[in-house]
Amino acid sequence: MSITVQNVSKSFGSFKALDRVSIEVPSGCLVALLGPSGSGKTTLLRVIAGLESADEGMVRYREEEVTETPVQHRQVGFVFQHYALFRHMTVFENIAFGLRVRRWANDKVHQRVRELLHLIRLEGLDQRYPSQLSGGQRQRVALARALASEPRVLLLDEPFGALDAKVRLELRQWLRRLHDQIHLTSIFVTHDQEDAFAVSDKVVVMRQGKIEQVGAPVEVFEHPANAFVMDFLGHVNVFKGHLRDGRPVLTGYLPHGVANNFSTPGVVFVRPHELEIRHEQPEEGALPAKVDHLHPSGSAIRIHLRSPCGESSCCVELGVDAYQNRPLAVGTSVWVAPRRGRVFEPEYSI
Amino acid sequence: MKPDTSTAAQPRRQRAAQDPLWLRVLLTSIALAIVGILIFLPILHVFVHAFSEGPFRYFEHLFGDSANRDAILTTLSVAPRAVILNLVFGVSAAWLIARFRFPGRTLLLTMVDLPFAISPVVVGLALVLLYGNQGLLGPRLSSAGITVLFNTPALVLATTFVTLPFIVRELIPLMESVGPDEELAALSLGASGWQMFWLVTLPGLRLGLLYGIILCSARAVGEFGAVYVVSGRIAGRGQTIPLRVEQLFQQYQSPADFALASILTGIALASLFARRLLESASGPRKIQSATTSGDAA
Repeated sequence: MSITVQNVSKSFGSFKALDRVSIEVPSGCLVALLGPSGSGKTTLLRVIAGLESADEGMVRYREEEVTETPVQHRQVGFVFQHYALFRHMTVFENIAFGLRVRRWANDKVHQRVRELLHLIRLEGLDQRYPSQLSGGQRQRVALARALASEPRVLLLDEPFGALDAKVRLELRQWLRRLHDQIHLTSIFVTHDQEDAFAVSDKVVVMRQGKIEQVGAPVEVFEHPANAFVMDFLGHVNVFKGHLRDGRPVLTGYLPHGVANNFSTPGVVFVRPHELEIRHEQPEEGALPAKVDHLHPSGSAIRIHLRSPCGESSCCVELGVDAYQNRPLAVGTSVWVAPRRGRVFEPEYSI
Repeated sequence: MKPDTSTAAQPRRQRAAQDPLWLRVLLTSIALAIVGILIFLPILHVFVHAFSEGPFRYFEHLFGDSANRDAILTTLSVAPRAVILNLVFGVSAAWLIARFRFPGRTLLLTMVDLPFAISPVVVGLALVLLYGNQGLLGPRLSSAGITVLFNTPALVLATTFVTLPFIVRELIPLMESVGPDEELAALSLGASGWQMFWLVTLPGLRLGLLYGIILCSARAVGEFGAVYVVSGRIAGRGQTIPLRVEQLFQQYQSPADFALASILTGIALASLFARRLLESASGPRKIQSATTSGDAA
């Protein structure tokens, strides 16, 4: 079931949560709505679900317009951020709820709930109450409940938001595998680019009620449309500088606080893994720096550096092997040189 | 900054644990003396007086007199009706206030508290003015054959007014803490508005409801001021227990007045006990639900 959103706007008082947003979600696709808080991603999800009504614009499931259809009749599966499990019902009754209100026969209800308990691997816990489950288990029950009556689309609001790091990782993989099994058109909201990249086929980056970029995770990460997307999708160093013949030339550090101002001209964006450390002064375009802190992170080492005057800092990411060829000590004076960098047209706000 | 505050906090904690014995004994005795003299002694006195002529006379005072029997029956018919009215009002008002933002919401929230602030006598007088022969509604209702004033309906109205805040006040914070997500989840699963209400909203409130009903009943049974004004004050006709107690007391019919008063005291103690029981029964569950919302946030 494909989903089309056309020119949807939504305001809460004077706050414009969505500003003429249009997206297209192909059938069977798993899409992440990614953005900082206040970007309108949850509002968009709720408008698609029918939990909020759009002020203007249109929502369609395949060819059917559902803009005015109440949530009861949209046949969506919605997973709430804090799960919203019915606390006075057992796991079994929670999952069965959607079937019971649709007046399924009792034996069919039992059969369907067993199926779902198997799918979420919680057989044997069906008589527990939500308060007796762990966060990850609750999340899976919420998912099973949403899937029970075979919805046309699955919508998830911050599905990993309230989980600790390890459970989050497991559930991410599990959700991806689940989606590969059932191929249900799904949209989920997240503020975490790792979640979005790990799970989705397509990422929609939002800011201030507008869509900044849409694309596959690799595409969005490698070719960010603007400075905001670049900054939001992972760590980035910001320097004074420019491009010459496509090669970045750094001319100086930016004082703290300028990094998030995307409308500053003359700024080069360099990802930590695109920076190199040199021990002798290279050709022009490199900056002197002092090693401040070494931060091992899996297969890479993050090297935090400070500008000579100590006001600004930057971060270089090196593979562990590359680092071990020439280890660094804290306090060493080095040069940082970019292999690659990006400049963006300054944005003009009206 | 940090080490400073911790060193400042430590000696204070130590001092609290090391208050001198005489001070602790003094404070404890003062507290016990106040509770004993102001609360325990009078209540004990009620029972001692009530039973002063033996248990046989006690029950004769209670049930031998037809006016006393009538008072007990009147209270048993008035209080439950008031509680039911408050239940309907309480659930709908709490839902309205907790779930919706509408003009006049703050006013409604304030008005709900009015019965706590206003003197019950004023409530009684207002009802007399409204339903009296010269009142706004009185003549119309009496031409329709309905007598409100000096009759059971007036007692129910007065009691309902006075006990209005108990159930609403219990439910609003509960509904606000639970939030609308469970209800929205029910709707997204295809439930109709009524199904949502009966299957999700109401069961989620049951402890708060029970709690509110207990408090509301206790207060409804004991209401005196407003009921005093609107009742006919005729022995054996539309007199609640508190009114009959006052009348017996005025007629120097001791210990009959104390016998009847002991019923009121007994109901009050029983409801406090029920409340405690409910609190300890719901204690672990409340903690669980608190952690549920805690790790969700």
